[in-house]
Amino acid sequence: MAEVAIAGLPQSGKTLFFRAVLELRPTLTAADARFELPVEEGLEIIKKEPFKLPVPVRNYLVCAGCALCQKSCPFGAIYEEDLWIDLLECEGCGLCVHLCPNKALQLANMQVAELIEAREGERKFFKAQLFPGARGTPQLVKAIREQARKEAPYLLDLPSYHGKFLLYALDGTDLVVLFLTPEEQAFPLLKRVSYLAPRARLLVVLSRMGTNQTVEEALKKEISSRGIEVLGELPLMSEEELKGAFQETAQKFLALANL
Amino acid sequence: MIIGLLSLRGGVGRSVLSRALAQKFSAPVYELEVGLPKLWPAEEKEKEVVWGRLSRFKREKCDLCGDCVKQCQFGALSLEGETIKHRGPFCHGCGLCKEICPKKAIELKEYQVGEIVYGTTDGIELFAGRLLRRTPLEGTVIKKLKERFPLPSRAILKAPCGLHGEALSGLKEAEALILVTQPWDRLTEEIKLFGELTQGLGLGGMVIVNQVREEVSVASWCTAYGLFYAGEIPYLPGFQGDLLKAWPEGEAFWDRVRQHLEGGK
Repeated sequence: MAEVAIAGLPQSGKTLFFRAVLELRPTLTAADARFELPVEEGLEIIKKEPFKLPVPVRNYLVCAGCALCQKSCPFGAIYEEDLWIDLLECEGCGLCVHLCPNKALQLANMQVAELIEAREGERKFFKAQLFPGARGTPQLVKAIREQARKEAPYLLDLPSYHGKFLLYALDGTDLVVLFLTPEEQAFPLLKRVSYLAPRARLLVVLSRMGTNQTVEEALKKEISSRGIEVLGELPLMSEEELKGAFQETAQKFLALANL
Repeated sequence: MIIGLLSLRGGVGRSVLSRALAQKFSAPVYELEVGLPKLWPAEEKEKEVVWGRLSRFKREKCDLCGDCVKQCQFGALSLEGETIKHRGPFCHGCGLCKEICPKKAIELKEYQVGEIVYGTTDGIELFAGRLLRRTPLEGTVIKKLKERFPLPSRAILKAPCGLHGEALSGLKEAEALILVTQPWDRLTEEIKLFGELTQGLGLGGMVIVNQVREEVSVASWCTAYGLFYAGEIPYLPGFQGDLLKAWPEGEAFWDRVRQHLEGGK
């Protein structure tokens, strides 16, 4: 199992589990796909590299204002008024650059983050720091996975953000530990993860159990009908109790994943 | 006033807060977490399919020149041995490959990529969207939601989890941003980042700390970063759903929130 991801619903204890596994395996490579806050204390930064995204840049001296770019932008990222390009909408596809009859547009690379290689004891730890409010989380998770892959096997901790980011986070993973809680969202997430990582082995951890019996029964039924293994089942408990309970779950996981 | 509701981490109370704010301000909620919507109306009044363009690759016309592979920014096309691999889920439907293919081996086709819905839950008006296929077209679903159900003058925009550009991109219409969070060891760093974001966007920002067991002293941090600290919501054991009912002592808190948001305009 070279590439292992931990995904799931919020407040399910997935990061505590991530830490529990790392504690048992001091040399296992780790990656964290939360990019907004600075690197935690305790990690020793070895290398920082700029991370860039392609963005179109307009040369207004050459632009004839024909607005072909604006009309053909598939993402509606160009404003009609002054042909201003909204970088929160632009996907950097380059269609406008290709279509512009005056060659007034060019793709440039804009730095949106720093890729960080760090050390935690004997372990390699891959992270990134996104510039405040910048886009690029799907591309960033792809990039840190590419780096962590060189030090595989690795364990990737994912936030509870399930947009297109999840596609880039799970594509090609070998094993996904999916944390679910008895909530309606558990069903579509289970379906989506099985779909996004079709070749991955899927292990489910049920957390905060004993809080919603109807959903729990339906969820267990759904999991077993899909032939998915349940790695652990934990009642609603405090963070401290959860840490203790994950000792066992983490050991079981390491044996199953052969890590 | 259009309010954008954000949180760095999931599960801190964005859904609960959005419902409470909707009740307090008689405003609808727009659920923008289309990857995995938490809010979905119990009673659906209108529903519509969202169509999106995606590329379709016709192998029989392809002569393996590889131009499309070089140009695709999304890795949706790759040259593998004697064949081009079309990785549908990564296609953003931009159509650049179609434009440059000398053999016209790629076409764009409309697919059902999502659905949008309008309805109510406990008297709250909800507009929500959901991605249906394995596509990255979150933005298409959000745009369609706002186009089909235009934002009224008061609305709560509930962003997906995170303080990154992807979460912010649906909040363009917001006139003020609210950060919902809970006590944790990086709370001050979170507030600092939120302060930088609101300043960068030129918007007013408000911080609400939810599920507080022991008093947190972040008011001065908020002030230092130009943010308004609305106060804390106590930890309510066994709480589910309706915050206004579960926390009747919250009147002063809600008055403060209202005064700040309405007084500012």
